[in-house]
Amino acid sequence: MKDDKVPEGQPNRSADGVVAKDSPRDSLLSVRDLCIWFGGPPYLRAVNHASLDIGHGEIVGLIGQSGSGKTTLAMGLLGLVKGFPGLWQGTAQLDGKALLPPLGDFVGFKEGVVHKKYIPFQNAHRRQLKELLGRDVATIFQEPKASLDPFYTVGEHMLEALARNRNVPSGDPHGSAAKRGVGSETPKQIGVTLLKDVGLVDAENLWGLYPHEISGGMAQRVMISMALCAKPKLLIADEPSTSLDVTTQAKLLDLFVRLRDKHGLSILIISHDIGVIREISSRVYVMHRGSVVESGVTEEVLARPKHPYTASLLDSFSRFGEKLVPPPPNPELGEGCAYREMCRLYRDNPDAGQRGLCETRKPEAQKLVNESAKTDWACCHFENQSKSGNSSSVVARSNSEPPKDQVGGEVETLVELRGLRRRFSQGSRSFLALNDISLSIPKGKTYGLVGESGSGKSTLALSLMALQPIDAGSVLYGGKDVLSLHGKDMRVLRRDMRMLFQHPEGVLNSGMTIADILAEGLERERGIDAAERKRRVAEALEQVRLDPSHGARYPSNLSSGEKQRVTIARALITKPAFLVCDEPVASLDLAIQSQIISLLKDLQTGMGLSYLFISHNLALVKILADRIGVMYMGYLVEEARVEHFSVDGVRHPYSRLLLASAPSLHDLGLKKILADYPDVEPERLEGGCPFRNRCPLYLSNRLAACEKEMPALRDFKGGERVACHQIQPG
Amino acid sequence: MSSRRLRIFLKQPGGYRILAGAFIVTVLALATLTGRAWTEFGPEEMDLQALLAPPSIGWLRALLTTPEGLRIQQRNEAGRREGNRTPRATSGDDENLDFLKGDDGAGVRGRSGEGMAAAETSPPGNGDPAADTKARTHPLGTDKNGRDMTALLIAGARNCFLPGLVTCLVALGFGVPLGLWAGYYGGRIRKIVGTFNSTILSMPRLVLILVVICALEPNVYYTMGVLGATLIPRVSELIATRVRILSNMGFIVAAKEAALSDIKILWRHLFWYQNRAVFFIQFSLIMAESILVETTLSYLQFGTKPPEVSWGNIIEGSQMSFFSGFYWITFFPAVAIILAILGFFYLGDGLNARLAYREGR
Amino acid sequence: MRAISKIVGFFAGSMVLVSLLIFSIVHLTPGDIAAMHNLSPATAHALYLDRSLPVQYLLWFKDCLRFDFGISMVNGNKVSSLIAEYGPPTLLLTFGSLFFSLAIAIPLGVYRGLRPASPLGKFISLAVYTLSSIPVFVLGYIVLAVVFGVFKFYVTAPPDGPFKFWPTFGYYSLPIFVLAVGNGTIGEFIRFISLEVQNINGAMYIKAARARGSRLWRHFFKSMVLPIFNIVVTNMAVLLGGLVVVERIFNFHGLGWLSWEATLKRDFSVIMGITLVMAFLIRAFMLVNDLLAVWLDPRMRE
Repeated sequence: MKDDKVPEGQPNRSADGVVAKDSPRDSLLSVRDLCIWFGGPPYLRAVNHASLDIGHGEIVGLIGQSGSGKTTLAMGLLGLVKGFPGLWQGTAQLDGKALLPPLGDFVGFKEGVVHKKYIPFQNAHRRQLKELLGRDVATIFQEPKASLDPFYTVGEHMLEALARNRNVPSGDPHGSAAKRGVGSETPKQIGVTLLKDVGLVDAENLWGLYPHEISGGMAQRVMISMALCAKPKLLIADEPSTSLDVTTQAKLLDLFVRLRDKHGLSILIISHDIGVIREISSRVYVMHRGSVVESGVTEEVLARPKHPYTASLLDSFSRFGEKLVPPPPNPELGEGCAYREMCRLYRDNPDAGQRGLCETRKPEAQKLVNESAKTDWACCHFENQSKSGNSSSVVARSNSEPPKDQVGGEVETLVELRGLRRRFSQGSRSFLALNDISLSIPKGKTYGLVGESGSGKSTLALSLMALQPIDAGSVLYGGKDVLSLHGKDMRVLRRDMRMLFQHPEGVLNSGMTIADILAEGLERERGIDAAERKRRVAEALEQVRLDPSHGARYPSNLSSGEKQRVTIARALITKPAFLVCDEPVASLDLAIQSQIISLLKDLQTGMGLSYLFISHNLALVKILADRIGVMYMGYLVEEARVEHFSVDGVRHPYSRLLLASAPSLHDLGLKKILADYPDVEPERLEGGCPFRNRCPLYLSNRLAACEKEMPALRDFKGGERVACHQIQPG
Repeated sequence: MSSRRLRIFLKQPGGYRILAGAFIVTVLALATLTGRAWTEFGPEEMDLQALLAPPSIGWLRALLTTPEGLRIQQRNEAGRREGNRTPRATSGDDENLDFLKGDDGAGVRGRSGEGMAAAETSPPGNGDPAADTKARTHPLGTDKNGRDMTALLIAGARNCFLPGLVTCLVALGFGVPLGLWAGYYGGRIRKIVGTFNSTILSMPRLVLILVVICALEPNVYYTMGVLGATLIPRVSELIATRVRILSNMGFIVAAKEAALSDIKILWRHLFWYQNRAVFFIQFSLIMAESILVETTLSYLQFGTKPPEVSWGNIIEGSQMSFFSGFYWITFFPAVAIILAILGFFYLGDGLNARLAYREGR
Repeated sequence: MRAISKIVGFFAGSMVLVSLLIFSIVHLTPGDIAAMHNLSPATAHALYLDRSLPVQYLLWFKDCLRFDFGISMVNGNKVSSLIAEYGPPTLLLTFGSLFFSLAIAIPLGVYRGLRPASPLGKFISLAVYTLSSIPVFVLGYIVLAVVFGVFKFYVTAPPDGPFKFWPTFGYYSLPIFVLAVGNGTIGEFIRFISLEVQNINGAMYIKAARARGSRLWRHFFKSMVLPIFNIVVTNMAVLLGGLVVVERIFNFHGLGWLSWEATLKRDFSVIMGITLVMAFLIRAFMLVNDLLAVWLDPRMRE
């Protein structure tokens, strides 16, 4: 596996003779001034005068929050947006061929009303576009398993994709002999080779499987190898790793780099995750509310953002826990700079004329002449004044904070789990979702729980709250056995232990007002009259920084961040001492994530709450938690203090893999660690250590104990606990 | 409602359907409640001076009457003027197509000889002017017994509205709790309810009702209760599926986390705030269904029995009069049936579209 | 294999439940059946009316397995021979209207699913709503009025002798049409198919296939087969129920007509037999549907 990227400006030569053009700057895809509108009147401008270039053999990132129009931009080029044919302006060329037809007479578009409707995609152009799709441009999507037709096998999908390649003989055995030009390989052989190419070693076996029988990571690899079938020039990857686990994601990103090197493929990666973009793309475009606001060499842009929006995006990524300006209430895209309502530079500028410019005119791309890379530009009227701002803060979350929980032993234990065990059965198969989990959560502290999907984190949370039965074990809350409580005692306890859920939409009853939802928690408390109830509701709303007037609204009138605040208020209204947070921010945008996290932090200091914080996002957990536990396939494999929770500090090989896989802003040397780990799918191995098929220690030593029994958690110096046969305390 | 708000209301999905449906349903409900006040004649009153009087709406008559029918009518009127009764009844049971035999066979077939007898004994010899003034008071004409069609239609409305309520009571009264119960507890309970549902669903509804009619003394309210029972599966499956979706959203777990009792979760969260709309939609759709079945059963002589009036048995009793020229006896009940069903159907469907829109489906 | 045996087992079990339900509706209601029809002791014995209820049920069910539903209480005919006589025209009518419905509904439904907002799509929706609310017997009248009034032609008796296409077509076409349209069958099909097409059209794998430039009909076709079969099966009950009315209007001698007459005369053994046969037909369709699902859908095989 190659670690380093091919330096800019060098021609890429692949093994099978695809030669990229001399300069990556000689762009393969060039988009100029593209606008795309959605829907019927009133039309919504999803993409606003965007320009984009992708060179040959280049990996380009496109980043922005959800709703910034990044997917619409890419899919609009291919005629794949909903409501096709839509309305658009601008030009786009792929390798010299026009992607969009000339505009004809569509011009009249004013105040959301089209004056002259022009039907853009005529049939001729549709045919032309169809020629390109799957041949010159290939696309992969966010949900790999849903992208495969459940009725066809992987092999049938591959054959279908191969049929798009004119050089491959058709799958039809009666096809003309003339077609069997290239080599003597059958399509199946070609397909199998391609599958092996993307790291699917067991390709022959995989050929006959249906999509529901393979994992998400495998499905995404199948999608990629299908994309490679017709040897495309450009691969558009729309959030390719968002639905995947971190370890799978790391391997996938590595694969992209490898494919670029081998096939000379140009790749456009669309993502909301700066870590992903940072890790593999050489250049980046930043989108905000339909406009491309900044572009440049990735490292330049991320280290020294020119546009205030980019800076704030990096801020929220790198410095969770600081207060951010809330997003603007007004979603209208007017004239002028779309970012100005949130923009520091605009708000703090005393010069009214300068501010007027922001309000009336959309900023042009400003070339940044004093920079090394000539294509770098940013769309901001304040170009000269824009500070390279927060570059220092971007680089690292300050390590200067005092280490927490230095005297871990003295703190009183609030919640304790002892030997929690739960077996799930699906038809004939059954597996342990929780296997002898024991841990304790001290008062006023945060216990972070990390792990990939299927590791049993959520099951643990629900079992702890007595919302799901368990097979064995006990949960102690302040010395009381939670699972043996009934009736009134249970209801009293439920006021003390509350829970936050991942999807606020599911929790808030859409038919009830916010005040009704909150007041529900007070129902079982005695001596609360209407006035008191009203006061408590207002108080809870204020605690989560919402205006008490929100109480009269319905959940559908709130943004996703506000909804999650309401769920927090719903928990706080009973004045709890302990809060289980099950992925509370996973479904939220980055900026809102940081707001919620900072709110949770404030509440902890203000009210002395204890948290069990569950997340798959290591960066988040590290910000909040004092102790972190790592789960794998129902086992707690390691527990460490937060200051030891780094690639070098952790001891269990799985924890290290997890940490090394997380896309990171400032450490690219992690790839060396990843190279030790074999490229295999996670499996639920019964008997022995479940991690052994992916464990470098086991694969090199082949210790018999690893196959026979699951290692127990053993105490290490510094208050850590690790479950591994091969690591000895001391 | 101001005109602007009305416009906004109509713009949303299902707006026109809701408006049209609500209008028809209101008219139907008014007819049921106020009934007798609307017409000069009661439904059981026989106006022997005006047997088979045509509707007094001239344009409608010109529009709808076939030339042949016109000819018969003219002859009837001529006959009435001369003091003779032209429309002779042909009796017999099996000649559905009897009017094919020729003009003289063009009569009205009725199951009850009683009406015919009344016609036979009606005093002959109304003068021309008298007939005309009389006809004016029957806006939709009269049937073969001289009963006012308008009064019959209004009486029929009552007899399809009230049995419909019985159907709804049974279908929703059992279906909704069953659905909530099955959806909430899942597992074995869901399976038992599912088995019950699939057993009922594997028999044609109308045939199952016939079996019940066969076994019991036919009574329309009883029959409609059975119809309600056959609709329980539909309601309970719908509700159970919705409850399952809600519980997948984390709904039930969250409510339990807030220490609510099962009854409260079921009633408040799952029914009142989430499935109240479905209740009204199903109410409307089931009303449509029950009007359809009630009229059909009455047509098959198993539903409302004469002398009680139902739109279905008006049509049954007037069989084929359409082709003999007395179109109004068949036409107006048919229109009433279609409009009533359409009204409830539109109302339910429009509300459903709006619910889907609100829920972002 | 496990899935298949489960499905077949469910089929058998539900048939027992259905027979139990029919039996108990008829026999658990008050009133002496034998006295009602003045049956001779021999007939009552042949119908097991002199036994206790559980025994009666078991004997009746055992006979039903051999396609023997007893004898008519009114005229003593064998019910099975009545069904054999009246069944075939009814089957032809049912399947005819099923195919007619599908032939109309599939193209219209697919069109409406792909272009719901187009003028034609909207028109289809409106027509569907309106047609669905016309009861069968009203539609029957309208159709008869049009055919008599305008064309002055209609074949009223079943064609005798050797099979000839046109007379048979003339005899069956109107009932088939009325059964398909008036029962809301076509409307239901169109609504369902268009919804299904809309769902599939919005599915991720169709988007991905479009992005690959592949032919989409393969994906649409395989995804559509099961839902269409499913809606046919769920509509079988409605269709068979509509037979009673259609056959009455057109004086068409089939099972529907027979069950109407049996109800008028309160002929229990006939109506029980017919109901059981119809339930069997519907259940058999459900069975085929489930087996088809296992065969076609790889996700169902486990």
